[in-house]
Amino acid sequence: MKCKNIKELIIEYIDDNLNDKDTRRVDEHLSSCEVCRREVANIKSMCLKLDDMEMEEPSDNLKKNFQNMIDSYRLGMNNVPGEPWHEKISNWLESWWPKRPLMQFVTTVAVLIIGIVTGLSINERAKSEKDIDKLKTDMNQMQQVVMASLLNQSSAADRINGLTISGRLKSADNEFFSVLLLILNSDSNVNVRLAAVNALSNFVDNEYVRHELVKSLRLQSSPLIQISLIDLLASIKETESSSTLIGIINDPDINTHVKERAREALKQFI
Amino acid sequence: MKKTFIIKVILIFIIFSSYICFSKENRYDHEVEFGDSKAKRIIQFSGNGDLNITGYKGNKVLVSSNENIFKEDEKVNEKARGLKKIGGGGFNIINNKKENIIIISRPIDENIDLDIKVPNNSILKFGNDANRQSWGNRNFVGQILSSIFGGNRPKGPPKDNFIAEIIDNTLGGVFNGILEGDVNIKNFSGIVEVTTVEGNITAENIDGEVIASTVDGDIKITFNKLNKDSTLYFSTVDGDIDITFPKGTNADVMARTMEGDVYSGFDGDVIVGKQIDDETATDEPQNTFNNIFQSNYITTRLNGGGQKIYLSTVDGNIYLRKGN
Repeated sequence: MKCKNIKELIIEYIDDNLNDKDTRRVDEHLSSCEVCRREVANIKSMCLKLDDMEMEEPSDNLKKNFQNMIDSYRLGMNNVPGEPWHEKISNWLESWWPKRPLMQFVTTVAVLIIGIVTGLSINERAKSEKDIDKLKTDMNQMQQVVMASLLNQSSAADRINGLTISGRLKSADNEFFSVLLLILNSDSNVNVRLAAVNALSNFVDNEYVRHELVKSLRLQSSPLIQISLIDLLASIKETESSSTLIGIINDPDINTHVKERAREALKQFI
Repeated sequence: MKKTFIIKVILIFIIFSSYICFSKENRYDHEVEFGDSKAKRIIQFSGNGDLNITGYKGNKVLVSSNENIFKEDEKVNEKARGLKKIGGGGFNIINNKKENIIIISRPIDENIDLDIKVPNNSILKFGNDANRQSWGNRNFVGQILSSIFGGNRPKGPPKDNFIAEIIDNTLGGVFNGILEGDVNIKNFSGIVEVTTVEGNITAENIDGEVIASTVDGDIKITFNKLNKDSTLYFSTVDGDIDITFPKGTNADVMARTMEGDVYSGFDGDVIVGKQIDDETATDEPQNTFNNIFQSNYITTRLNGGGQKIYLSTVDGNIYLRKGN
């Protein structure tokens, strides 16, 4: 038997846990091997020393203290309702946080990119909303500027320019139309009234405008305005104007060309 | 036979030259100066008779006539002793220095022809046209405006009342009166507004803008230079419209005649029966001129288009000429 195999058995040999066969073999080897005999002697002495060491018993006081500690911990746990909410959130968030540094880096970059893109798009949306608001106020301002230029100008040329601009307005309210109609009915210059017809021709989709145009035809005295209005009403086939047209045809004071035009217009409605 | 002819010629010559001498002797002049030469200057004309207007550099309006219209009445009105005549139903020159307006009004029962020199860069207003609605319905107009602006009905003078001021402006300011007679304007730069009941409107060598309308008469305008971006209107019921534009004018000319024809010296794009759509207007075509009622609208786009010029006549031709 070799020394190596014997070493494995030494501890068991000392404790007398080996069977007879193994004990005999160890005995044979020890009788022949000086090194192993010394080894066994060393371990035996160490074991004896360990057995000689006094086992220290925990004192009653210690036991009591320990028990108190556990009790107070239990009590504390019962009294605390739970983690504060912000810690819960941060814990929950932390659970999402990848543990690997590479993943951490990738996540950081991704979040940064998403942040920048979202930020830009939100900014853009806010800007476009601002643009729309600005456009709306611009529209109102434009309308007011046009109104002011229409009404506060003593020069016919300026009033005509105001009317030309007003024809370009994409939308306007009835207040604005009534200013245009007021000019159509009351301005002292034929050309300004003619410009008002042209400006109003852009808003014939509006029922109020159509109705007022028919009314205006009765009020006009200039053949040019009468013809322009008849043409406009005929081109939009405003049948409401029929009775006014018949009135024009029968009015002896009205220019013959206007009457002719009114007759042509009436034919459109039949 | 020959002798009598020569005598006749000499006699005619003597009469003619004496007439010229006589008329020169009886030429009457009057000067009016604007209150402020730098502010907006307006000259208004009304009444019956021809007007020959020439523009010049200066701040005075020089009015001259063959008749002694400037002289005070020979018969002194006893009741007016110690008072100064400031106006009347006859010939008046009113100089409103505060408003910088000079008003030249003439009687409507007699013709007074005037030669007038006017400062350049002023505004000339000839005549007014009263619509059926215009003058009888100031209260009605006031009501409309009050409902729009939520103000009170105009009571005070225009200066104190915003709405009354608007009414005054919309209805053409100071009522100018009807103008009957030919209007000839030469070498003027500024803004011209002519509304006549009867008579031709002729303007030569104009630098600025002209808006003209007459009921019975021709309109003939020669522009040296046009104010860009301004919209011009020329309209007559019974007469031709003849406009000479500078050759580089960028404009859309909308011509309209019921009975006549339209002639053009420009090689512009011509669109018949349609008004050229304004790019800045609605996306939809402005009007669908799909019937005969807009077929007499003839649009000529000069040099790519630009300012809008409307020409309309009921019974007459329209001539667009290319100037220098």
